[in-house]
Amino acid sequence: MTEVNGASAPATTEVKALLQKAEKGDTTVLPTLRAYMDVTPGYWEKMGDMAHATRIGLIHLAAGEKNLVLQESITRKCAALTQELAGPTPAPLERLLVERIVLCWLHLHYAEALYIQIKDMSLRQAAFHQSRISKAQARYLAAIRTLAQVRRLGVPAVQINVGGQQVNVASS
Amino acid sequence: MPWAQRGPHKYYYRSVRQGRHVTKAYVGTGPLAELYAAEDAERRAQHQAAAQAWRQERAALDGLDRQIDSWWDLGAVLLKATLYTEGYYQHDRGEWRKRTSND
Repeated sequence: MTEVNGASAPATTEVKALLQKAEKGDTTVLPTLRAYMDVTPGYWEKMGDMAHATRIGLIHLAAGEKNLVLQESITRKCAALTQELAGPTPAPLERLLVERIVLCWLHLHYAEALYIQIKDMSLRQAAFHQSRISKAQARYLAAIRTLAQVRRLGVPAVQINVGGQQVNVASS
Repeated sequence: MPWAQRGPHKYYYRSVRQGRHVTKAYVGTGPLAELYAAEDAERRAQHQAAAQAWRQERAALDGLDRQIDSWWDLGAVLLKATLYTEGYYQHDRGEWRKRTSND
């Protein structure tokens, strides 16, 4: 179990550099990486905040700023999808991955809906929208694959403190 | 310029693309030419407005996509870091496996 308080700002680039070494099989970086993850729970907080802000932004774009009924419908659909994918007692890492899938799903559907709604578009515009759809689709499938992989691995849960709140993430 | 002034008279021309070249095509003079010029101006304004709307829409979509990219990248970093620190490794940039003492 890992408990962390008072996180400093996440140093993503440093973690990325450590990950690159780990990806090449350098296991000596693991203690440093572990230490980074232990003292920077702000990563999780930031990811949660970003997911929330992005989801709200997407819902507003997809439904329109003033269409509160549609906004509420999409919000409920997202919640239902999250519940359906996560199940009654999801492991915390799984819950984060499910949120990832739902946000990617929303992004993909918004990209597709936008493309369908436009009546007259140039070839350049069509290519732009097609490229967005392809990227969103690839990301959505990758998010699903990742959840399936993590479920198969059965990464067990532990607790860390994020902004004073206990969050379960993973444990050795 | 679509209007050419020659002496006291004004003549209206349109730019016409022919393959890779743009040439001037004579339209006319007098009230009828004024009418064509007004139509062309209106069409140009509509085209410019549509282009401006597209630029704005594209900027908004690019902004949204950038936001999603950052969030996705952060998630990927977190996931990888978590799995590495929990004793897993990514085999050949593909599936994740539990690290054994032999790895």
